[in-house]
Amino acid sequence: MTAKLTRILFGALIATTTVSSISACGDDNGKGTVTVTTWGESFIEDGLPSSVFPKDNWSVKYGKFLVDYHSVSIADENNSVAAKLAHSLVFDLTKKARGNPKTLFTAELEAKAWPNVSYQVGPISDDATAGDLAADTEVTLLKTDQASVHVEGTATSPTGVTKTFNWSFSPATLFQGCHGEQDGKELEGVLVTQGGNQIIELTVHGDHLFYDDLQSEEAVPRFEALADADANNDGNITLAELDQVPLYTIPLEKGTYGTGALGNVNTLGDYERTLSRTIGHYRGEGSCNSKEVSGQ
Amino acid sequence: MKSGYLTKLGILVALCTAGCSSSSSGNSGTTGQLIAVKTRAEVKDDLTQAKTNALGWSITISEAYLSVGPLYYFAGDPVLSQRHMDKSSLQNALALVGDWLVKPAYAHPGHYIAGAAMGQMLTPTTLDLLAGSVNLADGDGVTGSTNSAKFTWQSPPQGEHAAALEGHVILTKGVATKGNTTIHFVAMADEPEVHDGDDKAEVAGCAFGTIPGASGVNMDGNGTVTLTLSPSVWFDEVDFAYVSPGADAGAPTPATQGVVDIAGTLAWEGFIRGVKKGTGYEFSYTK
Repeated sequence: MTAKLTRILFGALIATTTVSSISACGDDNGKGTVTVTTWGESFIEDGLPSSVFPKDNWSVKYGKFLVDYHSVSIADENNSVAAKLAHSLVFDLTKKARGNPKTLFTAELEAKAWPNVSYQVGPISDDATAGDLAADTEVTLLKTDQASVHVEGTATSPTGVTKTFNWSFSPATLFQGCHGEQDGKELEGVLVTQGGNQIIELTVHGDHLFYDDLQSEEAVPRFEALADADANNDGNITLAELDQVPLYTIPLEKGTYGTGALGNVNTLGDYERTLSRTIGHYRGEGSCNSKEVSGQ
Repeated sequence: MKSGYLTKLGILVALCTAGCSSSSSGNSGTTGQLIAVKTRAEVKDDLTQAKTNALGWSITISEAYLSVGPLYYFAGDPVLSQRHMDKSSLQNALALVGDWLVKPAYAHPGHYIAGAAMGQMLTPTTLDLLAGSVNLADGDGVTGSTNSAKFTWQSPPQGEHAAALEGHVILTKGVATKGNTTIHFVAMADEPEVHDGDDKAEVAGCAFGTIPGASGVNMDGNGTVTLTLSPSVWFDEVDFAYVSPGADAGAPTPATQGVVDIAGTLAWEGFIRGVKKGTGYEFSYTK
């Protein structure tokens, strides 16, 4: 709720600022501005409190949450692209923006409906550079690991046990047909208004990496099964360790880890890699249709 | 949750609305017209041949029965492989009804949204999977883009092979071999054991397309929906080492004639996870 309120207030602030500038200029000529930003919400910036994990009461604090935006495009009803990201940008969503949000690009577009907005997370490409507040070392990290998403963090149990994780996820995902709320109405893509400045926030949901079912509406975040995967008990859970845990060996009381209709998710490692493809949202709680990208 | 009831209601509304709109308006568009949909079940695997699973066990099936409940077809894409659909006036009307009945679900994190109901086959039956392809009861639907399907299990079983299932929704028997170890097994699943994360005896979000495993087809007239079953998927993660003599966890004692019921073992947990996989239930439409 706080995150949503923040977005609303930020949107109102932008709108107010934009209206002021329009009054000053008065020559918008049927165009408006679109600014594409990204935000990981308080879950990624501040952490996931134990209340987010209602079944086992773990908590998680991210140290890094790197996302490679490989492409972003805004197109009309005929899929004619009017604006797109020039090259890949990497962001660390744990870093809080000061003032302006972390921005991918700004474009001036004809004032009308642009119903086809899509973006792609990964694969990391040679031309990727650091986005706002990200460091070159973080771009290098993704390139070295050939990762689309990289997360680091610490999870803490209700009794004070801590587990660290440091995971690079390679799958690339296309998020297309994005739809979300604009001015209180659900719509496809973005509606550019004359002289207006629409913020398209590519929202990343940091809680998704811990849900205990890939398809169920009743899924909840849990951590216990992930903690148990620390086979050498060194306090750090690796993806290699997760790959050694068949989902059928997880006791039901630690989560169903259901895979829905998916047929190729057999271990906790497969499971986390699949979850990493679900983190992308649109304008807060809005969503897109996701597709695996292959053959890049 | 009342989604089973709501799904049926939604389809009824869709079919009714389609019928009303097509008859009253004379709409000759390509979506939303009532169609007859025959239904057929095929088995992808040659169960008479041994097949090696992911854990190296060579498995031959000697008996395999499946209880099949209603089948439903939807416009929404399978989970994590989605495409947005243009909606016909019929589907928009259905969506309005659906929104009134049920708040739009933004399920986390997979986001499988069934979308508009496009067709159904409502007659439960039972299948002998070694008997080859069979025709199921006729179904119905509406024209338009269809991308996913829901398989359901019927409990108690109904139809010709119900007795063979002995009250289970799946019953299989066979032999698994690895190295010098041979296990004669029976693997069964009851209705509560096949429930998904939403506590329903179904596999939602299965692929529905032009061929098994593909997603996306325009049902543009009367046709046939084929349910392609792959029992090998059920056994792919079954590690019979858990029921081998001397297994750490304590292998179950063979019941009769050396046949081991794997129920309650980690081998069975792998079997149950396999029977819930959507790749075991693929739907395709041909005109």
